[in-house]
Amino acid sequence: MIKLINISKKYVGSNIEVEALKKVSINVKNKQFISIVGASGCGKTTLLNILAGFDYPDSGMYLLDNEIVNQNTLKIQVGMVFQEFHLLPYLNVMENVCLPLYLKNKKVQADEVKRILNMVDLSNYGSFFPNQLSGGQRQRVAIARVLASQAKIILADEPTGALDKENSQNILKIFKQLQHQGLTIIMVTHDEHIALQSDYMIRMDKGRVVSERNLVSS
Amino acid sequence: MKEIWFHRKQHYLNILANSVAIFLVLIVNVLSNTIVSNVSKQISSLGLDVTMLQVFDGSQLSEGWFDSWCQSRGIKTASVFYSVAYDDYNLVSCNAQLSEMFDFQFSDGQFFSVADDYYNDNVIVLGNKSHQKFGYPKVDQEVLIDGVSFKVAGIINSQDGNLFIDVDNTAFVPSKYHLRTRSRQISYYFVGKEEGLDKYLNDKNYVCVSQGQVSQATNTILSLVQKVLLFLAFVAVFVSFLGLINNTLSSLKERTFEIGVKKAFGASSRFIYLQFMLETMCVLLISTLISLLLMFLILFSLTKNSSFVIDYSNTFSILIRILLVGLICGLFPAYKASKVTVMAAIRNS
Repeated sequence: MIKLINISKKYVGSNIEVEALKKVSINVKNKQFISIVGASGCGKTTLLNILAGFDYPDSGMYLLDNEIVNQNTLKIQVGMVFQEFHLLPYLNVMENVCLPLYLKNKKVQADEVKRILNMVDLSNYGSFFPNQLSGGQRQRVAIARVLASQAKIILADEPTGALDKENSQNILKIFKQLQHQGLTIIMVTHDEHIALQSDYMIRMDKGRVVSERNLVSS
Repeated sequence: MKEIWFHRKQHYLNILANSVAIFLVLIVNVLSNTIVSNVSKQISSLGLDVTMLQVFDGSQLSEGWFDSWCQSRGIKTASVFYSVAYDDYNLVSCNAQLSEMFDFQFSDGQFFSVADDYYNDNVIVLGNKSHQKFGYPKVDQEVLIDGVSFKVAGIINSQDGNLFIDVDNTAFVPSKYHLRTRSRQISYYFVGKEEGLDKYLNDKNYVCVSQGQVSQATNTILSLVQKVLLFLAFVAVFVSFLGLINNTLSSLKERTFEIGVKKAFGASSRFIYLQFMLETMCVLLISTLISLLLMFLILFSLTKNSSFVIDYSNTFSILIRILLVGLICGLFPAYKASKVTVMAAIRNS
């Protein structure tokens, strides 16, 4: 479904040039739960940003369903979960969840939103504001927001990075549940224990993919 | 609207500065318009064709000089006009024609006649307030001034004053009264309503001022003052709008996250652009409402006990111009905001 071929990306500062990605190629199948691990600065977030369409590769090819991607297809198909949740503080849970629908001028289906909130165990928190929620709850709101956007691919950048062990497990449980419902999940993490709970693990180092491991068969 | 409310602290100073600046423009515009229109109204209440004449050397004048002077020049409607200020009223000696020229309306009686002017100088016509000061005498009753008794001929309805007379606070007596009782070393004035008086403007024996000229000169000076004040007020608006641009640009850094999140979830650059323009519009509208409220309050308190008629003409067009300039000032910050990328937001956060 997702195919990256020889993706390279450089960041050029005033005196320094950093090669964040060096000819990275990966394949992601439909309904797969993939984790990308590596030390800080290895290029995993850059890769995720390119996958989300937030950043552009200097060279290489990005194919989605065998077609070269453009911004519009990415906007429809891809949703991002951030490490720091990135909820808008002046919107309550319900409004944050519905934000992608408002922004895309889509009609809000109240039942569907309730179903999503129920799925992330936040059905009673619709009127709460982000500052009234715990870290785990905020991350679940962030996931609900992606679900409301009807994205088929969820990209998660260190989704458990700001959470304790119990909340991290809850988030992974939700991801697995979503995978079973047919969504593709690509998660970036520096925590190998978290990564081991995915189906497929890609290890990166210094801008390159150094190993790939199928965790389902192993 | 929630976003605007959330970022309200960022806008407080903008709203304050804009309100003060817009208020300055509005108040300067309305006050100067009001002054211009009220002064013009005062001047024109007598008619722009009226000319005032000052004769330098009254000692040379005989009793019938004025009639001869008018007759020799073919002037039909004119009046001698001489005013003496008493403590609480003015005593004006004039000819019977003055009533016609000023178009006096009477609550009782009438102005003294031409015959009274010639043969009976002990009659008096009272303005509304001078009537009160003499103890509300009725027509044909007598009042005393400097030991001289005057029979009341008429009482004038309350009316606005003009450049020549505060009618309400004036008592009118025939012109002969002053010729007989006062020194001849006086300057006589008259106002005439006939065309052609302008030809005496250069006569070395007189100073002749036409109402039209006074009106024109006053309007020129007042409109110049108005333009200068408006210019200064517009500078204040411009400076406050520069502050608005600066403040919005500075706030962009802290709002990069919010813009980035919205873009990450599907907001287009156009959406962000319109959102910032909407915010600018809200700031401008709130500032405008505050400044209008302030203006009305101040104008109300200034004019509640006066007969001044406030002239709000062109207030609306000035407001539209201010709002347009404000919106133009909002274009650049909105453009900059629309160019914020998700990557910038991620790096910023």
